[in-house]
Amino acid sequence: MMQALSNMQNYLWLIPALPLLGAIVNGLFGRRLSTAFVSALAISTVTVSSVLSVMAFFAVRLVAHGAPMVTSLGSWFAIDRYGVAMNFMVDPLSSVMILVVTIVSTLIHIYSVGYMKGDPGYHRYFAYLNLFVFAMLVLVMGDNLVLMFVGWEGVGLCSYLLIGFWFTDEEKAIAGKKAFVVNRIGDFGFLLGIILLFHYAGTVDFAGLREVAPHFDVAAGTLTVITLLLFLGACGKSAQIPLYVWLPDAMAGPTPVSALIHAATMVTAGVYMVCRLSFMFALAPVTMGVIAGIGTLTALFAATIGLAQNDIKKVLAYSTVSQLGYMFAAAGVAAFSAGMFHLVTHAFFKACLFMCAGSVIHALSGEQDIGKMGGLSAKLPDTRFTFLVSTIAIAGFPPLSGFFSKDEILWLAFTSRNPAIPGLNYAVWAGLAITAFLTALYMFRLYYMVFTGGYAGHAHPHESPKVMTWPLVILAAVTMVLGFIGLPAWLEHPVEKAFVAVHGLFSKAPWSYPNFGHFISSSFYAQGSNFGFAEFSHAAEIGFTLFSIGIAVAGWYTAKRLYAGRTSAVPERLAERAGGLYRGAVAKWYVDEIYDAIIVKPFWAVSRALHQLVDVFIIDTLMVNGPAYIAQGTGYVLKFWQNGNVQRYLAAILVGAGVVVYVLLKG
Amino acid sequence: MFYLFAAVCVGGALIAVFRREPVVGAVGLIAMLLGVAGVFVLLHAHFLAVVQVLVYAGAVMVLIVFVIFLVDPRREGPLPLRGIIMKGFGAIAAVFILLEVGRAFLRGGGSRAELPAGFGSIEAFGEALFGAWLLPFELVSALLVVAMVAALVLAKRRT
Amino acid sequence: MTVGVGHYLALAALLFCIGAFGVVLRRNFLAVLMSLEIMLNSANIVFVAFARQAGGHAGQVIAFFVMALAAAEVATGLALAIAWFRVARTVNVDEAGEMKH
Repeated sequence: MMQALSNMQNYLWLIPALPLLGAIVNGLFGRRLSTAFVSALAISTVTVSSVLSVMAFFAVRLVAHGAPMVTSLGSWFAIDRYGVAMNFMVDPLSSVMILVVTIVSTLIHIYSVGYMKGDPGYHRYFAYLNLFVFAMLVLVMGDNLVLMFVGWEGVGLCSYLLIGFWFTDEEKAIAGKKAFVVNRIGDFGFLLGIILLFHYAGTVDFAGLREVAPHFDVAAGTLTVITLLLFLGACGKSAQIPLYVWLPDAMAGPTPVSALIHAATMVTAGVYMVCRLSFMFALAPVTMGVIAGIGTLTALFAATIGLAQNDIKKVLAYSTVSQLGYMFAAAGVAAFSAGMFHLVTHAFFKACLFMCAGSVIHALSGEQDIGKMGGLSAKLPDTRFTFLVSTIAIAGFPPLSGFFSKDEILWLAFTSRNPAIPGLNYAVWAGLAITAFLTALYMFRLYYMVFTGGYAGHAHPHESPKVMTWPLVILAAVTMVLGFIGLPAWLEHPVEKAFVAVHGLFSKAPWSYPNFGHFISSSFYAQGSNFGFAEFSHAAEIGFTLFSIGIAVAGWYTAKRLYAGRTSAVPERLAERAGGLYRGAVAKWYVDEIYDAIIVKPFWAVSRALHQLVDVFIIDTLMVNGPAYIAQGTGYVLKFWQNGNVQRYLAAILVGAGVVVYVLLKG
Repeated sequence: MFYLFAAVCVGGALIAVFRREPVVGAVGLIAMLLGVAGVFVLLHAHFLAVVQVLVYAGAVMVLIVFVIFLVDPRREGPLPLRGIIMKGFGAIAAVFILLEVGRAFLRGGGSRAELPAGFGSIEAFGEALFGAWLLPFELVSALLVVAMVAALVLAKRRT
Repeated sequence: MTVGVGHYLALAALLFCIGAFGVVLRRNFLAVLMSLEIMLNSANIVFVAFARQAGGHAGQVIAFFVMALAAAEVATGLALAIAWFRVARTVNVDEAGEMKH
């Protein structure tokens, strides 16, 4: 076993290569292959990848003891002093990411077999999905920014392809385009950041950057600019203000895609990138302040919108935006491992939520309006159970995973100290605490609206097939236990003691309690960082924990009073009373409209003007048609000569010959 | 002798060009070709003269006459007006060229090289043709084959 | 006045012009073809005359080639005339405008 693990280093490349193989085969030949073969190939490649990922994880943990393992596939290109290697690296951070990516992917692949059954684009769907997994793994495992960017663009492409999967529906095709364009803005920043790093640091691989980072002159602001640009890229990919607008629209894609790409994995790429480059971000306190601020704002802002949405997937989408804001807020206060912990737990329960939503939508033949649901708990028992588990987790009830990760973020946000912006931590904490309340509120609203009360629709709901419910159950199970790897410090010691004691009853082998933070923290070593966390007593920490439980309970209770059984008239009255606020939230605070007015419309106007001036006049009229007009005019004159009568041609030749003879003989 | 042959040539050519009936024109053309054969003899090109009579006046003209009978062309109407300006210019230019060039040629007598023994004999001509000019000769034969195939393809009635 | 090369060339020029007249002015395709023959023959006279002048055989050989060429041309030209006549029931060149465009 240990032998296999120590050889793991040589097989790391297989982890992304297998899904690529699946994508190629299904993409090129899928049309001619049977449905069973397509799904078997897609699922098996991802499954083997996830097994390898588990092995890689244990190899890092047990063999390498947290040191990075690198597989080199050779040099990609080397220009002058700038070189980029095709290296795949697995360190604690990326090992956790590949675990999440491959395991969630595997479950969603299996789920998709049921969800996409009978779709004419079945093979195309699985080819895209496999391609996505490949790109995501390249993003995560690349040991330099350029390789990461390749994966970054790859997942963006797959996201675009899958949002617009049903491209015959124009609205969905437009949603895909919107995601692509908005992401371009972020990617532009990311790319600029990479180029600046090439210029100033001379290297883009993480190990090299880690060495160079402390030598940047922080006061000069170079590092701040670079990190801000990189964060802009993260904003685009992870749907943060101001670039979050694409994610809710991205729900146009098939629901498993929403679960995999737009909830669990791709959208977390921005968080991953910030954490991956934590050694740089931690040296730029202004950037960190911006990240924390934007993360908190996004969390709060999206939560208010989520509160008023009636489309089951839109609620979850805004919830995702909100939770991603949480992760960024954590990263922004230098609580990188807490952010990553929330990323991991969120990946599982949000994937579960989305797939439950998919199951509900599937059961109701495509209905997504929660106003037309209700009372589904009897019809969809498995879905309801797993949805409830995930809802409790995201709302932050102990002992489910969401509680531990969220509580840790809240606690660290409060105790953090940003050297450049004193007092920021309290604002972040307050914003996140309110968000926690809203999260519990809108999630339980969703739950009560969908599963309790009387059924308000007209379809005939039926539980989804086993192939769809089993992945839900597995995800829900993971959600239940995952929290225990990230216990708060005051709780960890007693629990660890208890576990070790229990373990000692069965085995003599040494065993240590798995702690997410300890394991992953070696990836976040930041030399020269001024960030710190204030010391408080355990009692204070316990107090905060109780407080966050209180918040969650308050959110749940409010939701129960307002929405349980769908009988209360309070929501309507509330909506009337707070008319402006409610309508604003329903209309997503008019952000799309504002963007339309201040960016899209002027852009169109400028484009149109340029089109008229440059394209129509200069290029079309002067450059393209101009020569044509000249030729046409000339041709108009010449066509009397070109009349197709050979005899006249010959006569003309004779005239010419006459002239020549005359010149020769006279001259 | 030269003037006799030249007269035959010019007369035949004039008939061929200016008589409206194609058959009469063809006879004029034969006369012209025979006249040219006579000119060739005067120029010691005996082989060419023979070929001229056999191939041109014989084979080619038979072909032309045959086609004339086959397509039975109506008598031409008066000269068409379309393009008459250009054609008129062309004709005038032709006359002009004739006058200028003819005058120039008649002015210069030019010396003659001493003819080697056997000049123009079939033997000497054959040696030239199959010696230095072998490759062009073969190419010309290929050309004839191609022309023959082309003629067959073009003239074959579409089924 | 002895008959020099100039006389032959003058004859050739005369024939050439008569032929050119025919090619330009005649409407009947067959007549055009025959006029073309006249022009080719005038060129042949020039070749042979200069061969006589220079005392080599090259001119004669080329005249021979021209004859072969003329034969080929007549063969294809007549085939074209037949094919065309079959379609248009005419052999007048100024009515052959269908292939212009």
